[in-house]
Amino acid sequence: MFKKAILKGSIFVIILLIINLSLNSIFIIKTNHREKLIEGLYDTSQQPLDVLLLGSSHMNSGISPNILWNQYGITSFNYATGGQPIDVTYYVLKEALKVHKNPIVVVDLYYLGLTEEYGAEGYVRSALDNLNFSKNKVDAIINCTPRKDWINYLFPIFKYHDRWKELTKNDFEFDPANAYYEKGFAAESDSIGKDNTSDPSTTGMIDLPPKSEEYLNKIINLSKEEGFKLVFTTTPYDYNGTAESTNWTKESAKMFNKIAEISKKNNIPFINYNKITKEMGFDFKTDMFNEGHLNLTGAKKVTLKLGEFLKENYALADHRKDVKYEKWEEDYIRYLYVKANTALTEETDIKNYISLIKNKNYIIVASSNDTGISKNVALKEALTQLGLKVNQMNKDGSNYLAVINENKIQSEILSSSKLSKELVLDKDINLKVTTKSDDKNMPSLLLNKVEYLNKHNGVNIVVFDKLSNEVLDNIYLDSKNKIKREVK
Amino acid sequence: MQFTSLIFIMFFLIISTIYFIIPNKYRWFWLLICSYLFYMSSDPKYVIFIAASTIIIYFSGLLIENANKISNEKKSIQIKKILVIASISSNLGILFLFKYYNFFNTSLARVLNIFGISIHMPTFRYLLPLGISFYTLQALSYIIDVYRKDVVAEKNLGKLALFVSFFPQVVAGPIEKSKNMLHQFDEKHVFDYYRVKNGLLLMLWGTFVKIVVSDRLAILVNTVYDNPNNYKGFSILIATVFFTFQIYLDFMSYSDIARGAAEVLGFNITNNFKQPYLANSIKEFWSRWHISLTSWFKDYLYFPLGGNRRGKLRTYYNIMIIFLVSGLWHGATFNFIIWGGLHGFYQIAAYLLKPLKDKAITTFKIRTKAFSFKFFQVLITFMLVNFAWIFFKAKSFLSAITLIKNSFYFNPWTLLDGSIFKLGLDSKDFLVAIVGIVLVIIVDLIHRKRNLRILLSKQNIIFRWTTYIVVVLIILVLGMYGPGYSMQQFIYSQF
Repeated sequence: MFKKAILKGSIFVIILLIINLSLNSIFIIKTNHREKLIEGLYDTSQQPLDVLLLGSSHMNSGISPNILWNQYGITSFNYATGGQPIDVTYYVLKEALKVHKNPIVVVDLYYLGLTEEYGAEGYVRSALDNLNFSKNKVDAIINCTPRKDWINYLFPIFKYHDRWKELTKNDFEFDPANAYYEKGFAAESDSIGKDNTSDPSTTGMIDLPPKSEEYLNKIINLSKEEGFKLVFTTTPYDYNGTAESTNWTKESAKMFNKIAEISKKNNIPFINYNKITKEMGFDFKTDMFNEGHLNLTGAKKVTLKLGEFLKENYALADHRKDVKYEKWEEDYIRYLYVKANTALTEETDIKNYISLIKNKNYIIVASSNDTGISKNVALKEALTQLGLKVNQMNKDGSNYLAVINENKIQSEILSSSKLSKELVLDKDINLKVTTKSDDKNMPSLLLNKVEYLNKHNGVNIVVFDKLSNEVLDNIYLDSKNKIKREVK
Repeated sequence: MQFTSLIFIMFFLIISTIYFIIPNKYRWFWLLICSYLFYMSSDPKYVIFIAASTIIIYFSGLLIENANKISNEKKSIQIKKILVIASISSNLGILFLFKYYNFFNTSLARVLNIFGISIHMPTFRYLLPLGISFYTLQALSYIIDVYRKDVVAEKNLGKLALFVSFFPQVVAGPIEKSKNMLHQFDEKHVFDYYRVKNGLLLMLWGTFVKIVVSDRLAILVNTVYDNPNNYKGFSILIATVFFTFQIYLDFMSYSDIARGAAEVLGFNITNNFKQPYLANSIKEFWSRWHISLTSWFKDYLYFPLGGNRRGKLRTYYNIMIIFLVSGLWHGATFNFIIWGGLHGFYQIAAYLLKPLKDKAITTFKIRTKAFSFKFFQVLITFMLVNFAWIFFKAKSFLSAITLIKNSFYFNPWTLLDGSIFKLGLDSKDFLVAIVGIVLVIIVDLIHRKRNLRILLSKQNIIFRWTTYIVVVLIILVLGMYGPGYSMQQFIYSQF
């Protein structure tokens, strides 16, 4: 009877554990770090990668796998997550190596500057919570988190269970595959507009913080044991940004000199991009997003430089012509497309805007119920650029409605009474535009009955993206003809 | 090691597995080791006092029994009385030192101060040893039982030590009398699958009630009771009703986990509660609330004082004594004494008003068997208990008065404009709290006639297991635990 009870009890506990593990994925916060780690580590459909990119946010916004692909035909994935300490990086690397054998591993070493034993919980969690349960994960938890927190890392539901109140559909149907095309890279487009205040050419060395040194050595030893090639990097940043931090090394420049020495001793290339900014044509003012992180243009420069280095020093095949890698080209196109969409939604000049929306994947709806349209020269010019004939419309009428699809004008009407049009794109997409909405008497667009209303009587332009089936942008012009948007 | 912590669950599963593997004759010894480990897990140094109490009662028990053999009866009784008094006062002495010394000290100083005398006595700066109020009463019961020849003196020091320190009960009872408990350590406890399963179920239920319902209520209660000046009217009424349920659920869940743990190991300990809030008088309330304490006071204090056999006045006096002592037992503050006094007063008042009540019933031809009458009685009892709890919970006499004063403020709009969701529980948590209370009331109503565990055991395995798993998941998801919360101690473990 005792044995039977033990057996039944064990079965019960196992069922509970399984349910518990599946609940974890619902409760863990859905960040883009989660998206990319799940995709990068566990999407079994991907080809073995040439290059693995690891590190903290500096790497996350530093190296773009899509540019490496487009320029050099190199396949890579960016596993970096914000604030990721080097001990966590070691275990993320081990996790990635389960799928990718003998890649070139590029590690950004900014986080070696951390002087505390453990990284901040939020940062550590954005990596560890997204690893599947395995011995490696348990090792990571034991070594990268304080003992008192172990249990809460092992069972993330202990930490996140009070999110029950805020769970959304996305928590239940979270699909990381949608983000795969980014290959883990994310950078901002704004620029800092200031120069670097620190001097990366400082000479002299200091010792690394003990745990940083330990894990740097662990990564080096792992590369020797497993036989993969290692490249260390650090992207340009202002060392003074961390000078005030109590948990950070005071002399970053000297720390990197020490790292250079260690790397040399172990025959590992270490590229300090802070020291070769001139060579790259890198301008701190325009190529940084803030004092720590590269922006899109900065990332492009550093990525090209890294790609050049990889191409020169390692025998990497160019996969661009290989049919097995078709998906990579598709992803690259999508990456460009999303980048273009982002640029569109950030544009404030109507002239530039018109050139950006000339795209066969967009449906453009221009509408107005304001007599001002025939008097506004700048606006008329802009609309004319789209091929619209608003200029030639001399008859009176305040209701104006134009629809452009695949760069062709589908309809353009000026009338004194309300105008409406319904577009059925496919059976699931119903787009309804009108110059006067039922309740507010203003131009309005309804997509599958959800209203996108600009509370403005001038001209409204709505851009619908046929690839994502979403309203991409929704603008009007202010009195100075500057683009304004309702916050989404 | 709190009962609802993961570490206790692990501890319990491991020690009970080992318990059933080792031969029967060593099991009591294993339980003794585990009980001392459990006790020492909170603060090892206090183990000295529980050990000292045990040793005192062990030797006085043996000596009392020896004194029985003295042929001169008068002398025998005299010696026994001396031994009992010495043993009781040394046990109470330890309790007094830790729990009451500072209180009497400051109270005495205040009184003397009125007469212009100022005294300065050193304060005692040690925390209350875990469970001291509970195990002291249990130790006293042994001495008195031996004295009364209800039990024979225990020859095995280890078994007596286990009786005093048995881990399911040591922190907050139920307080067992030696005549109910001691012999159980000599019995053989075989592994009975259904008993073990039932015990675990009781522990699961206790855990659910504690971390899902009781600790949720605690948040709102503490918000209001920690800042009595900031709240008025319905906020205070809700907090007070919530506390009434919180303390019941908190103590009931503790007792259920204790009872369940003991049941798994093959021991039968008193059920401390019998749907107390369904009582129709304060007297009945006390036969349903903290039953082991009431029974202890009855047996070892009320009856020796003469109970109700020495006339009305003496009965009232005895009742008042019992409840003042009971109040003081809960804690060394005036609020606890007031709380006890109120309960004594309620009962005396009920006796005094009985003729009036009976007359009203016959004059107005009130149907006492009707549901409405019974409901009314239960409601009145509930309100009286509620009122007394204000003193139990409030941080000081002044804040209790503030709370009572501020509650006389009619602000029903706060129930509708969302203000009640700003007392620490948002609308979703509030709903869970209310559903939790309703669920416990339903379970209590069912328990008056039936045993839910037996009903459940008659169902098919799919239904049973689904029920268990759902309960565990509810605890996991809705429980007030984890890094975002500080674990709420069981209220009674602080007495």
